[in-house]
Amino acid sequence: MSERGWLSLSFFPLALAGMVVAGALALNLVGPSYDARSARITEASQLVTRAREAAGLNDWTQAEVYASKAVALNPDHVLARLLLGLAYLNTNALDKAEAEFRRVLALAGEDRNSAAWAHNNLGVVYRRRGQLTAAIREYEIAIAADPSNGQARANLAEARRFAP
Amino acid sequence: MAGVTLALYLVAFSIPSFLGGLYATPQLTWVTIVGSRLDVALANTAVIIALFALYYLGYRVLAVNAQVPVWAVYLPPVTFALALMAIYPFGGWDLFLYISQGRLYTTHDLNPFLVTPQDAPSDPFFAYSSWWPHPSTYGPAWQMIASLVSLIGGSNLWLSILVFKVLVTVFFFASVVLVYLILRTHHPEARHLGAFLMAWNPLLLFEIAGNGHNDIVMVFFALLSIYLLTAKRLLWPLPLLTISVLVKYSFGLLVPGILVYLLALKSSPRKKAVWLLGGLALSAVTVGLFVRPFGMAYSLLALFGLEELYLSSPATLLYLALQGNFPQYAATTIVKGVVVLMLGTLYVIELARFAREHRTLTLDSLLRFGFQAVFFLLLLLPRFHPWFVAWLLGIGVLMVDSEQTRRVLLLSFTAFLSHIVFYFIWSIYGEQLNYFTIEAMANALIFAPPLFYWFYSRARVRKLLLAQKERTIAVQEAEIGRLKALLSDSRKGLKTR
Repeated sequence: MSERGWLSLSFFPLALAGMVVAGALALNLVGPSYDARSARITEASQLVTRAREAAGLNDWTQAEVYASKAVALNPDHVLARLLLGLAYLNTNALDKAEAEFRRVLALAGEDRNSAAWAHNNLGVVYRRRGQLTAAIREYEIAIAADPSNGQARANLAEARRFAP
Repeated sequence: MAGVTLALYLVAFSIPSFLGGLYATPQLTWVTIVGSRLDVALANTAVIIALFALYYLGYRVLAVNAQVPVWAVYLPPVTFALALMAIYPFGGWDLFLYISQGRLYTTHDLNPFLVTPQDAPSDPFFAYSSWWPHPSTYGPAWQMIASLVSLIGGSNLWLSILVFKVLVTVFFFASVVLVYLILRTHHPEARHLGAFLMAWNPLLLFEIAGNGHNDIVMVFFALLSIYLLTAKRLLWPLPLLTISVLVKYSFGLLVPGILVYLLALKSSPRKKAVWLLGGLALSAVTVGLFVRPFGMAYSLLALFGLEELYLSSPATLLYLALQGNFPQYAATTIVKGVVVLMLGTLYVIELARFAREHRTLTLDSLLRFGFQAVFFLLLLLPRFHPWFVAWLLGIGVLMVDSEQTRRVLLLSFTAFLSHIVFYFIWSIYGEQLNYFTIEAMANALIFAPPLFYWFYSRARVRKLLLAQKERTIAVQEAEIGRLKALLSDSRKGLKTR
């Protein structure tokens, strides 16, 4: 390929940039139509964010309030249900927590990350009830689903120390 | 060399992680595909070392012999990219996030700056991207590109993955062309070398063609901005850098540099006013164009608000050290405060140093400033990912065969190796090692060699300068001695007369 041939190459990046700008113009002309459903889902999403913030501050009562409102607006929201389950877990409502984590597993499908957290949290529920073998099984399933889940690894190591 | 490199990509990545057989399974990692075993970890480490050894060999060959055929520089990386486009994006699932966030806007009529992929559980990509619990932290320009491109793939998983990989790979090769074009004006003798350093870099190829990361789009617009500076189209660098910043925010650090550079150009005040005010006006229009479809929902604050922002960085080590003694919120606030203070201080020092050269500013000065600013950003960012090195490589390859070039090449090597720590070491020894140890190992591996090389080079340059100064003084002293002797001889001669 000659050096002169490369001259025309300056059009390649310039045309690419031009296409991006043209795309932006097109998107300005034909935008999405936000409706009542969009507003409901957006509100649920913002409640989940608030629930996460409250959970980060260990304010589980407030986290439960936000997460349950989010679940009411968007019942299939996996993270909202995970947070609600965690709020129940941290306020020692173990039966309610178990029910939420089981719903998460039903919703998660192939979502390994959420499934791993749900199994890990179920393990914590069993551990609190003193069901050590069941807890270890849940932690192991969590790690198999997501090997990078450090919390499940730590919980498994802790539980194994007490296993008979 | 190209054949061996291609064979390594095929054997280590394309064949074991072939997208065709794996794409239907969400959230696969490197370890879940190839196995969590020490022998696999060692084999992959050897492959990474071999890829970089070949790359370095090519770099040295080109640096001393510019007579290599042009096709040998540009054709092989196209085959490497094709081989890597065939892999499952196991080194980071951001590609799935791009698709889901694009579909939020185009398919679900939701604003990706307000909601997360988790808010659309009916989407076929839900299981691939539900791990990310935040609204988009990218810029509106990227969100716009992702929204439009997601329309091509539709609900077809395989096609969507491929379309996004093709998109970022096209931007990658367009960036290689820009490196060539910039160097053709700036350092003509090194134009192929610079393009080689970009096109053959194993980390860039793996993270862009393999994992589909969008950082190259940001780099592309910044390079286009620099290209138009070298082509003396001075109205356009600012708006193009604005698009770069609207893809991802990191290159916002370069904006003051471009402003100082335009101000320092030797030209009439009227022309400078046109370039600056015209450029700023076009930038404002650009911002409006990209932000309008999403409202004013997105915010930089979203980036600072993420509590899980810590990964493989010195800031993470500080955070983990503080975590035991402070509540999570306080630890986060302290670390972010330290990061902002340190980065702000270092940035202001670099900017002041750059502005002080305003009478003699060259493109090299601008590149040096940009390189240092982005290097400090990478060092101090709370969350570091190997593909972030693309930001620095985009600038470093333009400073051909300098200390900065070698520093960023070393960083790209150590960053690639950090995948071994996070995927294999953590997975194999996770129960024996705590997270702090893993982070400490990754930090030492990623940052210690380039920092050491930087300090070593500075010390070497100082030593050379000192030796040069001493030689000059010695020569001057000898000259003074000779002149004194001459003077004394001529005085003696005068007295005798």
